[in-house]
Amino acid sequence: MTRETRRKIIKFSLYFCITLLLYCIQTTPFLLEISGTKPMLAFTFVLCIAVCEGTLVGGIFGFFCGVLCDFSSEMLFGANALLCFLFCVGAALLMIYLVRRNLWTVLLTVLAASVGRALIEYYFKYGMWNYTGAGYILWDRLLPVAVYSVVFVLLFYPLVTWIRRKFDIEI
Amino acid sequence: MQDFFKGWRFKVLLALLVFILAIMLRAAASGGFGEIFEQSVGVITTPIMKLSTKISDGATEFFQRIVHVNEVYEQNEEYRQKINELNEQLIDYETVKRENEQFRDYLELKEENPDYTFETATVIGRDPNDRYYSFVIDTGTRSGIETGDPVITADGLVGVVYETGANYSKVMTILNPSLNVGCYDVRTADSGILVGDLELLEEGLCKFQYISRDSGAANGDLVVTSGGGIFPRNLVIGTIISIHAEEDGVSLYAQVKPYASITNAKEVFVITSFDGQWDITDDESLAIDKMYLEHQNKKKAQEEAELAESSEEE
Repeated sequence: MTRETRRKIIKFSLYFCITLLLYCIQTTPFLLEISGTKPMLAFTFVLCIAVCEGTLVGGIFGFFCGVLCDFSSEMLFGANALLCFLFCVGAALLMIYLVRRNLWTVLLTVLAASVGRALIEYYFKYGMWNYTGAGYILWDRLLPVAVYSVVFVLLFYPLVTWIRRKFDIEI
Repeated sequence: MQDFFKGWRFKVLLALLVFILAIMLRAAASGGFGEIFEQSVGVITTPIMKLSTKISDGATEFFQRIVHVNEVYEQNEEYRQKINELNEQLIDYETVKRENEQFRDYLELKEENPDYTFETATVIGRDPNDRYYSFVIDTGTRSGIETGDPVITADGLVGVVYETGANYSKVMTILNPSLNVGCYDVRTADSGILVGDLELLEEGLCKFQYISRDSGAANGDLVVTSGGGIFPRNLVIGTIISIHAEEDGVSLYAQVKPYASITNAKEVFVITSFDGQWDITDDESLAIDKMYLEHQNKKKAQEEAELAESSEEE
């Protein structure tokens, strides 16, 4: 096993553990809760991984994060996996081909992904079934969660950047 | 971008996408998901989630104390107020309970002694320097109480009123040597005088003196008032616990343990009137009693006789 391979394994293991930990934190009752709103920490983190590490790594960790979210979600198993996977790959492609990567662009990308995911979730869970008063859920629950999650980019993006720099791997 | 679609990474991602869709189809078909996959995720995540929840609960509890300190303070004040209200209610309850017991005793006494007129009273003060356990009650002349009125509890005689005010009265107990009570042994009908005694004071006992030398009084006999004075007849005083000869050899005396709790009386009854009650003037001692006067006369006659004998010898 080469030194580079060993570094990759350690780095991805670290990503794996942090994602798992963040998932556990986001599902812990009352932790980080503000007025009934909790952040999607794991999703924010894997998006940061995606914008830093590229499409493949981003896609895999997006899938992993989605599976974790499916475990505690009421949606069809695999739905969150699909959404996270697609958004992570999309964010990575955006960073590689269209946008220069820095904190602001990452913030906006994560915001767009979180809001996009909230809208898709709203549509498939409430919108397409024409539930009365479903708009309340979008404005009072889903969108605040998306916005709150974006705040943690300020923590996760520097963390992922530091981990990459530490292990010195180039895309 | 075209390089991306041509590269191997895209193929891997495409395969992963197909895999995800397959998972979704499988989940939709089975009405849930594949137990193996879900359970394997659960096996990994559940212990970590448990630990995370435990840590979070501990941290939340700690921080809640700080964050919600105002709320807790207000709640505390509210509970304090409620406790004060409940304490007041408890005091009222205890008062009512005590009054109820007092009225029950009153009713019992009244049924046994229909000629008595009572006034209930509460002991409101005791002089710590008074060795004879005198006390002050909360009723006085406004309630019809007069000097010389006997004071009792449901258990027995306590003492007599020796000073009155408009809304208070002072009571001298039967432990006081100044108070002499005419009494008799219920079993043998032996009569005598009940007085307080300094030597018996610490034990809370009284002295039943001037018992006839040939009396059949014994330990355990009930002693009651003989009446005909300031005390009504047959008021329970106490029980004889021992009998001794007097120093002068003329008579016997008995140590009597009062039934009433003289030292700890809290609620008492004052007999304001009864059949045969004497009126006590200021010039007369509270110790006036028929038997006492007779005995004093007897003793005086004996002494005079002895004096006359000794002067004759000279």
